[in-house]
Amino acid sequence: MAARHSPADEPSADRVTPRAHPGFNAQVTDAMLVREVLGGDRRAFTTLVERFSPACMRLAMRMLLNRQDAEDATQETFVRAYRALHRYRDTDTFHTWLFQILVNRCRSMLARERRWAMLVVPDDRALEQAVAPRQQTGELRDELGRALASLPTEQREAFLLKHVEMLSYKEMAVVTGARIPALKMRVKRACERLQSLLEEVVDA
Amino acid sequence: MPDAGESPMIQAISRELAEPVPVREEWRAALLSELATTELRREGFVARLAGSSIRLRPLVAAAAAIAFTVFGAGVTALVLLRDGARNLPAAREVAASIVPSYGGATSQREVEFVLSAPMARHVALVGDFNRWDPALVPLSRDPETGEWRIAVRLPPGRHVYAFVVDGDLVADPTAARAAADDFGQNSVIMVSSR
Repeated sequence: MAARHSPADEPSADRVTPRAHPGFNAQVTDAMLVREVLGGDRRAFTTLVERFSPACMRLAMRMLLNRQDAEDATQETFVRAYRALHRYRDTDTFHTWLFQILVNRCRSMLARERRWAMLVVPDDRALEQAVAPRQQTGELRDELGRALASLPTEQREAFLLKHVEMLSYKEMAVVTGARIPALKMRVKRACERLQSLLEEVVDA
Repeated sequence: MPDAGESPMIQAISRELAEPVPVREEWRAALLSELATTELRREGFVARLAGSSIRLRPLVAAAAAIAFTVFGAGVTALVLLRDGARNLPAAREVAASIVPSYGGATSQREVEFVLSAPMARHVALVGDFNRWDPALVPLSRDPETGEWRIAVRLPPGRHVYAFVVDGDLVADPTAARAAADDFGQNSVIMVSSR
């Protein structure tokens, strides 16, 4: 038991994102916590919950655009992660592994909602009218939700992972299961669409 | 050629969307409560789980799963014995002593929750039976004793609960803890089926 926490043994894969880990203790990495949980210290999982629930809630909120769904998706994510913890391999960061679960939960939830909602394929004109100048308040924040909602979910997802959660394209490929060229295209299209939708807000 | 992703507009959008989203304490309590009853799998060891699927809507389903796996009398006695040095649990049945149930019974029992908090302005009961929503079950204050009370009808079985006192989540100080290893921060009550 003595050498359990020797830093020299730790893989270099643990990544620190200041936004994701406001209270990060450099001495205890995520991989170490996972090992502690699997070793029988369930309370170590609480630390992982504390470290990652802000980032998970943020991504889920921006993807699902309502708090109840975001809370459900995030809760399901942590429960699934806990049950599958023995399958985590530190070839990926815990962050990446957890986000893979979260992205899948969000996709399930969106697919569920689509099944129930009237399925309307948005066309560009309808979307433009949805953010018609007369409805705009001129505030970026107010328009952002609508602009995000108007993105196809794959583009929304790629944009959030790249420009909000700050994942590398390699990490995004693991999290989404998509290939890097496709991801780059989704991000590019999302940026172009958001730019054009919101330029009207700023100029107004 | 500048990358579209680095335009000032995109940077402004990123900054706005990177704003933290508050994590509700009640949400956290509900998650820890669910984790406390979830078996951790280890390599080569297959554990029996409280439920084979994770369905969070409604949370009542999770509570029913928890109630179903309730324990034999021996383990229940253990839960109460651990707190033998304390007072009787603040949550008690109006009729009689607390007896464990194997669930399945449909009749509900009336349970009174009491919390001594004379300085509090607002106390609510949250738990698996009301989706941890502090807006649903406020307690009433007795001006003479400073005690807060509410009677609630609960289905038989094991329930996990806590109080929200002026916005802070507080476990029932006199009740058994929710899990033998204190993984959860909540309290547990067993409701009999008789």
